[in-house]
Amino acid sequence: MTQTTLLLAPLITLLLGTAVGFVFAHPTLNARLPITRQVWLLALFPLIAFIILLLPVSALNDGQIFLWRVEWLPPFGLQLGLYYDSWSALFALIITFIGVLIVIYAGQYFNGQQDAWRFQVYTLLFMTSMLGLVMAGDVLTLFIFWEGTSITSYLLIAYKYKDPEARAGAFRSLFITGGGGIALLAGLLFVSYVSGSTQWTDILSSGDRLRSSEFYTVMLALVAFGAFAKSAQFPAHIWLPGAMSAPTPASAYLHSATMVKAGIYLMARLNPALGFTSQWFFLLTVVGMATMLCGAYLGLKQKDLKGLLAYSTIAQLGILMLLIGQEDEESYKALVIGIVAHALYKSALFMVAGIIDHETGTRDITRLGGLRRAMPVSFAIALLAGLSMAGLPPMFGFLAKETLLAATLHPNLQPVLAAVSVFTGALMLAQAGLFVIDTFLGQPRDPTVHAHEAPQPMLLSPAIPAALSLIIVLLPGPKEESAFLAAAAAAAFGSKVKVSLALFHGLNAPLLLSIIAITLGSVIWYFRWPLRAWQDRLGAAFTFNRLYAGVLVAMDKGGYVATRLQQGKLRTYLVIMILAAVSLVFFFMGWPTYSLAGLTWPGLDFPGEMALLRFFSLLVVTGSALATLVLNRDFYAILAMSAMGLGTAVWFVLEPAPDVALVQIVVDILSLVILVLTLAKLPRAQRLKAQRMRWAERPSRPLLLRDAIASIAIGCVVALITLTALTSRPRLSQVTPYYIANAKEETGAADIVGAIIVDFRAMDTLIEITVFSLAGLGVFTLLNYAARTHGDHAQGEKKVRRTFSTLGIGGRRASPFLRAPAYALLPVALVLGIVQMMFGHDQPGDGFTAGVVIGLAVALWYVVFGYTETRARLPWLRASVLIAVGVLLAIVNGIIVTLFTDHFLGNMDYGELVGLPLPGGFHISSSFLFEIAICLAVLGSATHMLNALGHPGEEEEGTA
Amino acid sequence: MEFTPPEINLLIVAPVLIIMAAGSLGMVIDLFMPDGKKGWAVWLAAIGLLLALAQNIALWNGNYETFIPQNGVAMVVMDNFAIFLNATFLLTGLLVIPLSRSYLQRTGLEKPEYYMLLLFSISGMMLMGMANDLILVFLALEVLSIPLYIMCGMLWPRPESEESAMKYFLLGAFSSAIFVFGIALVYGATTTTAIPLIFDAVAANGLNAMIVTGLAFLMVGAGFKVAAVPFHMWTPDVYEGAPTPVTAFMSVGAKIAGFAALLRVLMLALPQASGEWVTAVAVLSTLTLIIGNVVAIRQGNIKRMLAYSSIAHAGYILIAVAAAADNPSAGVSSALFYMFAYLFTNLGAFGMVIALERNYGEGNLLDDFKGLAKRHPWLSLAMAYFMLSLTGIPPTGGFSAKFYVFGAAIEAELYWLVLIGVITSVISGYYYLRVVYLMYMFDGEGQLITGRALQFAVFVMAISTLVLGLFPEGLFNLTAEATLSATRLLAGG
Repeated sequence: MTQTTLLLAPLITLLLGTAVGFVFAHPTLNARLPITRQVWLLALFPLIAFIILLLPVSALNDGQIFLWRVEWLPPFGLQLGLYYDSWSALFALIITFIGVLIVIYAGQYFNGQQDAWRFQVYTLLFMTSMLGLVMAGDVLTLFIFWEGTSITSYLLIAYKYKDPEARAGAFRSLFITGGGGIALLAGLLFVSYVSGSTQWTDILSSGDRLRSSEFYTVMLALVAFGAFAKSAQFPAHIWLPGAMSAPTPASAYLHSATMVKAGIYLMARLNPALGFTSQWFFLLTVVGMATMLCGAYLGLKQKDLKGLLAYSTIAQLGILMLLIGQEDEESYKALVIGIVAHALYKSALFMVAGIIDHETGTRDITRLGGLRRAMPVSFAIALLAGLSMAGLPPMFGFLAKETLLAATLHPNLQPVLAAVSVFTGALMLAQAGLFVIDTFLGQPRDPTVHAHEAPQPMLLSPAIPAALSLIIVLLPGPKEESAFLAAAAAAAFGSKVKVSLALFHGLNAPLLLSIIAITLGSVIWYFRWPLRAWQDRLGAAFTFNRLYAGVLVAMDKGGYVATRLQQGKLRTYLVIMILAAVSLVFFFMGWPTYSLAGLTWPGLDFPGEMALLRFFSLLVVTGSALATLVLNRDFYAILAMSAMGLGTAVWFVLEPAPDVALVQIVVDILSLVILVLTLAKLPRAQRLKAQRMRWAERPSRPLLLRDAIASIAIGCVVALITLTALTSRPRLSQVTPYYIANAKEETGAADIVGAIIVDFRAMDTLIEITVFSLAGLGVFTLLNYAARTHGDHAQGEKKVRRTFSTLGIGGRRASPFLRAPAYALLPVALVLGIVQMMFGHDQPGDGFTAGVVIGLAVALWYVVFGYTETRARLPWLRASVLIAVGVLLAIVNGIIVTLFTDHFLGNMDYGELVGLPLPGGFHISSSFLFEIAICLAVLGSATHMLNALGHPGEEEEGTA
Repeated sequence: MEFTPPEINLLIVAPVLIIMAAGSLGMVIDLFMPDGKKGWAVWLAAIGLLLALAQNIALWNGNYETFIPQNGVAMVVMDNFAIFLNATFLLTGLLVIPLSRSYLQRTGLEKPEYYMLLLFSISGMMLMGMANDLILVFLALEVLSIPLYIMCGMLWPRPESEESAMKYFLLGAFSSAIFVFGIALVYGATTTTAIPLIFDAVAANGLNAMIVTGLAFLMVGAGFKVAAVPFHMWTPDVYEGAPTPVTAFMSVGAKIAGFAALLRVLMLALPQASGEWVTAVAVLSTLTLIIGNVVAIRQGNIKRMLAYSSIAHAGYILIAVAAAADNPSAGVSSALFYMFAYLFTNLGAFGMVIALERNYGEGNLLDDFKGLAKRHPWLSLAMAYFMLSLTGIPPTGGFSAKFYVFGAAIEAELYWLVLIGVITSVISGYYYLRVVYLMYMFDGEGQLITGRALQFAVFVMAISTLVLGLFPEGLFNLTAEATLSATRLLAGG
């Protein structure tokens, strides 16, 4: 058999078993072959896997390692792989062996239940993941299977999902073990990063590099956290008792022999790479000791048989973790013996607990007793396994305890270790006593409990491991088994370990300690009832469920606090955004390189004859800015804001930048109009409420203060930046001279702004007008869909029905003095706009301003004549059409030019082409058409906004 | 110096033009169609997207440039980076359409405008991926945002929908203004808006206060779009109020577009400032991860929960961006990978939310997921799988993505960031798995409304997530090539 088949066959066999398990989901098949029979078929699969895994044992004993690898992500150097040495084999064999027994046992346990196939499928899936975990050859494969066991064990624990306790227990175990898995991945990624490979083969051989790495502590902490969570180490042990709500076959499998050992497997596997440091020693020793004591102590007070077993498992896991931390031969010998002994006796005891539960209906120790008469076989099994758990000769468990004590007596170690071990051993003996003596011997405590012996196949499964606990040590001579265990220990330890399975080594210190432990344990057992009562009085101080609950509550609280910030108020959001932006700026400026110190500050000199004007406009700007703050009525504040914009425009004119000034002016006025129109639409009550919010009123003070701080902060930042920008920017633009030099000859434009817009960066402009049109559409939609029915589409019928019903602002008909100029202004604006477009290339002004100017005249109409009248009198004013024509014209124009000049949006003079006689300075050029397109699009968008704002609205419809 | 008008090759920008043309065509057709007939719009949109996708893929490895103004630097580049992002956006559109259909019919939203706006928004996103000039970046930002504002408000008589649109619009406009200010500052300092020229200018003259301030403002603007804390405040409100398919679209498309802008600015324009921005990005990432994941726990509404989850995922992508400072190829490609994987997973999860929503706003609570596994075993399985993927449990696309991102960050020596990423991933399991828990462990009345299109789309996304989880290599190679072409551009090649 090649390496590949040898490694893949067990996993594939188990997956096949899962598939077969699925087949029984079919109702007729399920009915034909009851679950008790199904299991004989299903048990074949783990059995085959077990046999395949057993085949290469002699090669493994010689130290051979079986490898299989497949490329997964070559660019990252990632592979998926399997790795099978004697350390893996130890676990793989336990997993498949106990797996066979559990599958058979579960058939009896779920006898008569229709959907028990689910359990079998979950179990086989879990088995596959667990086997994959111990056979994984690299970090990723390990992680995938690791999380696989978390998820499948969740499914098993929550098998009785209608039971809220089962759900809570399952969730807790998934949360802790699955979460630990992610920490583990992070830790292992560190390990791979330092060792340069994700393969065990490479990682295990780069121990020196790992130990000397600066990340050693981090990776150790992360890996250990993952392993501790999985192996129920203190204080993450809390999930294990909760997981006892699982069906007993699952507990017997997961919580004795397999899943909880995953952490043990991993830590020992990594021992050659990460071990042999003082951190490793202290971490594992301290956590192991704490876990031992905690499990042994809490186990004694349990009423539930399974709870008792769960805590004794925790204690045993603590022992194993402690042993991994002790870096000597003795400890690793004790480790392998402890693993096997525990797997055997604990799975047997769990299965017996399941039998008791199954046959009597309760697992409560205080109600059980005297079961030996009704259940003699179960009693025999429990006795064997219990003796092993108690560490009494001639059981395997005795040997495990002996070797443990021998390991803790190592001269380099503190005597406290031995003391703790003895104490734990004593407590475990007392627990075993509770399990065996108090349930099977004595008199029945509760007469309502009736017991029967379990069916034979159900007894078979626990009988085998219980018997093995005895047989292993009684078999004579130096054996294959001890060689195998020695090889496994050596693989984990990193150098040779001698293992002998002889029970007695003469009278020595471990034996003495053992006798002390047995005596002490007997005493504890004798005083068990008063002790338990005392434990109960001591109370819940020792349950670490509180820690877990505390973490969850803290997360919940944190979420609550952060949710409080999310009040849904825009101003809060804005304040947070502004403050964040300001801090980001300060964060960047905080870098010493860019401190403001090196920059020159602009002086306040006003050169030239325009000095007075400049100064005046500055006054206007600052004055009106202040006024916006002080003025209470929103309407005045808006006017002041507009004045501010106009003052800025004056500054632009003086700069001199007439194009910019023109745009500034028209945009300023347009926004003024829009704001005023919007104000008119707001409910009066809201406006008054907002206006009443002033500094003098106490309740609004903190809010205003906050807003003021945010405004001042962003204002200062922007002012600071602008000031420095003025002085520190390169004085000469790279592009301006180019534009100045080339504008006239290339594009026929004397006004470079015009040339830039329609020629140099025509593409930008094209997209810009699209954006602008979209914005118009957006406002239109946002403000009111209703405008649609009032606007373009339904116009025809409305016009006939009610012509001039809605009046101008305020609901009154405007005076003739206002109406006359409004009439006159629109044609003037149209002419102005057309002229601007005609000569836009050489003079300030362009299509954009033209569009806005016309839009303003239209806005005046809206104000003076009201919505309905305006729309009736200006039938050509259809927003969507204007936009569409504008954008299309721009594109068509661009394409036509392309035909002539090979350049999309190039420049060409159609007038010249046709030979039209035109006034000087005016060209029917592509630029001119483009200007018209811009103008139309802008006008269309403005109309959209005005329509949306100016239309009467639904409330008024009835009254009008 | 002779003036040459912008050089343009229309085939290169054809993917965007096809989308825009399909959108415009739809609006024109709408004028002539009777109100009753609406089915054509879906097909028009889908065909447009498919055509664009085909042309887009055909341009792979071309490294084209176009719209070259007089300064000689193309405004639009069609490198593999852009093509990859375009494909992401087009796929988003293609998947959102089947998810939307039945929902729109249910809520009376089925109007051709919906699909046309979707197309326009996608065209903006694509421009964002292709932009090689800050002006174009800004324009693309607006082109993609404005249709979204409208779409959020499409359920207009419902105040929640209007509130959503209004909030998104006002805050969006504010952040855009900040973004423009940032562009202006960068322009002021370097006298150019062309990304490669900004790079050259910084290389020649070094950084100064104006550039870094501009950078800060650019980051605010992009941070808003990707919903990074503390610019995330709008997200839950807007996501909750918007029609659910729009939320789905926004949570993927707009976020990825925001990252496209961020990567262009940070990686291609100002990589020399990486010493400065890497810390800022890392801090933003930390805040985003913690706030997003922790607050998600409290949410009882699935849309709000997914809103916070999308914030959290922005945090993970920010880790990749931070990693890109030190390790450009791994950082950028892992970000691309993450976004691509996130696209399928998140849209898939939203597909279930859409199916669960009977009427607008009904059936959006987490409790509505109770007992779904019994009635809809396959879709529930898919949902559970998406939740696992969002948590980052293998074998899912989400796991592969997180793996690459963390790997890139470790290579860039951002260990503490990885640590926070890992811890918050664990926290995220708490709320993602709760959905699975509710579906499988409880009995409830929940009922899904599923059309065939939706089922098909969810199925496709689940398979894609699985494929990305099992065989991420193909996509990984694509992202590496995409990154390579972008960085080659940087090197001036």
